[in-house]
Amino acid sequence: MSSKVVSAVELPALIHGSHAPERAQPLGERLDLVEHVKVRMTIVLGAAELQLGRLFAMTAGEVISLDRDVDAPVDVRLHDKLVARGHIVAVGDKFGVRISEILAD
Amino acid sequence: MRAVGSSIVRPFLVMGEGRRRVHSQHVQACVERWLRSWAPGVQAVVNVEPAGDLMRMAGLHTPDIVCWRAAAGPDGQQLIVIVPGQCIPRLLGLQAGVIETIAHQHPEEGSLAAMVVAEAVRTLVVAVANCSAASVDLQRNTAPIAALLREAETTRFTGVLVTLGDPRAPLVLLSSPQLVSGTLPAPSAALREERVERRRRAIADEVVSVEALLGHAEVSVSDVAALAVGDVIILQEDLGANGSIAVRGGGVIAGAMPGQLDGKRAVQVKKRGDS
Repeated sequence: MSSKVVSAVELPALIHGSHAPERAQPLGERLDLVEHVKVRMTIVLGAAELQLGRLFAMTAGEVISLDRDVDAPVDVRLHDKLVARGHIVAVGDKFGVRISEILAD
Repeated sequence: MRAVGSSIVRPFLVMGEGRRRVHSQHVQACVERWLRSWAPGVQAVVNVEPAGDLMRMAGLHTPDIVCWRAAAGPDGQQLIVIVPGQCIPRLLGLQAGVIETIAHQHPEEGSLAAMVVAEAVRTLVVAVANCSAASVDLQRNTAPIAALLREAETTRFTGVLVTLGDPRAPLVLLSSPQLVSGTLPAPSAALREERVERRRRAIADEVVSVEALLGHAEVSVSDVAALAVGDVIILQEDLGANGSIAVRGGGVIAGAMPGQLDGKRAVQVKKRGDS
């Protein structure tokens, strides 16, 4: 094992706004920094309330009725946040969702 | 001889406090004679007649068992059960049926008291198994104890304090699932499965929210920011692919084929655990 000198490091105290250039741009407006980052959207058909006993006993073939009408829009979620609604379509051999409503915030 | 336990288990059941006062000079003389021969230096002796009464119901005879309350260290009182050698085979011969009979002989006390009595007998059986000589064949006698252990778990017994005779000199029966299980082999796979099944039944009525998921799409942040009505998001899933069912806030529990039932959207469960 080689011999190294080890010494303590003291990190400087930081103060909000110090060392900022005169015309600093908030990072929140720099969408270009993250525009290519991929996020995962989830399409939710609907929900149902089930007793755990039924969940434990659930077998293949069982049909679970959901809380949405057939022609109701599906939810488009970004992680757990509902961001839009839309209708199911076919795009070639893939499922797709045509956006019918954008939810603010 | 060795102590049944090193400290007193915190009790939550008290039975018979001050109800029984039996003073038998003969029994007292027997106790003191035994104690002189078994454990010199005894500091206090409880009234053993009720304990003897309990044992008579179990087919034993007073004073086969002597319960001796001794002043112990910082933990406070400590019960030491002294058992004459000739008594051990009979104690270990106790069957579950005998203990149930004892419980049923106390209908006026209600089921709780019956359970306490059964627990007292059970404790003594285990205590004897702990204290007795190496000749004790514990394996041969674990079946009734194991059955009672399951009962104790069901009723959430953590300890029993039975006050017999003078309330100022309570007879403390140390008992806990830990103490009992410490004398028994590990539960069998069948017993573990039974416990799991029991817990399943206990929570079977709880309601959880599940969601049916059609699929997912990977989109860029810029596409999300520019998303507008009329846009089409292309999912990763093929048209013939299954969706999935997930517990809200949990994981996927099964694959599911989207469809409809009576005017409502619905899903048909496919292979479980396969999304």
